[in-house]
Amino acid sequence: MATIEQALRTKIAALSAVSAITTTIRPDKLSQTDTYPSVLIACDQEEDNNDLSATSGLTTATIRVRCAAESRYVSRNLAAAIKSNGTNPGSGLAGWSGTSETIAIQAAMLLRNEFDFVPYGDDSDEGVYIVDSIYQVDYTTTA
Amino acid sequence: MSKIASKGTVLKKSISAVFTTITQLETINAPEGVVQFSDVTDLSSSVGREKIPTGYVETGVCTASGFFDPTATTHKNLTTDITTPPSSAQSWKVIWSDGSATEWPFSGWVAKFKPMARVGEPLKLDIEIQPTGLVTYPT
Repeated sequence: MATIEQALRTKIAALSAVSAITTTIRPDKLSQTDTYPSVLIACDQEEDNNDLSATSGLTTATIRVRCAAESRYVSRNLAAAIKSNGTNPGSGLAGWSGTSETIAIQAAMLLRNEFDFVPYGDDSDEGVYIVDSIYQVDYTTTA
Repeated sequence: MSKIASKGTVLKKSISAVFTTITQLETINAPEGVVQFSDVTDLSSSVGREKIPTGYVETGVCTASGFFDPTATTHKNLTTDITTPPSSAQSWKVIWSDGSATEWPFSGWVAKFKPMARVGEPLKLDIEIQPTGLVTYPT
């Protein structure tokens, strides 16, 4: 059974504006040999829209799409590429609905971006610039 | 006497003589029974006002809310009652989620059907049924 992380990875990897920046897209965690820029996809929480039958059929997930790069410029552009795929109107993840890896995604909506900088810890002033794009993704599940 | 989860409570409407569950409801507010009172305070009454039942009961509206599906048969049936209100009251039941599936039947009309769409939320609906007469409470 496909997971929402797989479905979103497939969708994001297919965005031309994203693949022009990076092809390193992973769920939750980078591998030791991965380099920047990179994209991490993590599900922060999922909520089922239950009715009185205690069944749902529609899950609302909060997905954190983390864009990490060694410059703020690249991390921001990667997040923008995921959002809009370089087109106007956007053809990226924001506002998208469709089926990916057999999962029917009814709506993907960018809620906000959160910013961070993580220094390397080697006493240099270098580090990783992070943009966490928080998406709400509504997708169809078995009721 | 038990505390009972709401899971499984349904609102049914008689559609073509078959009681059919209105689908995808989150909340069902069964008709409220309100005993009417008359104020019979007179000049010789003590400080507290005196009230007595009139013998009549006001049955409040039955309301429900849930997830709206424009293609759902039962949701479309409710909108039909809006566009063409039936000449006679329809038959409804609230069936509670207790182990005995206790039924509260009543008659009434669809009075309001309010669908809505909101950013970040599923399609929702609110419905209101105007009862006539009293709910048949089980004894």
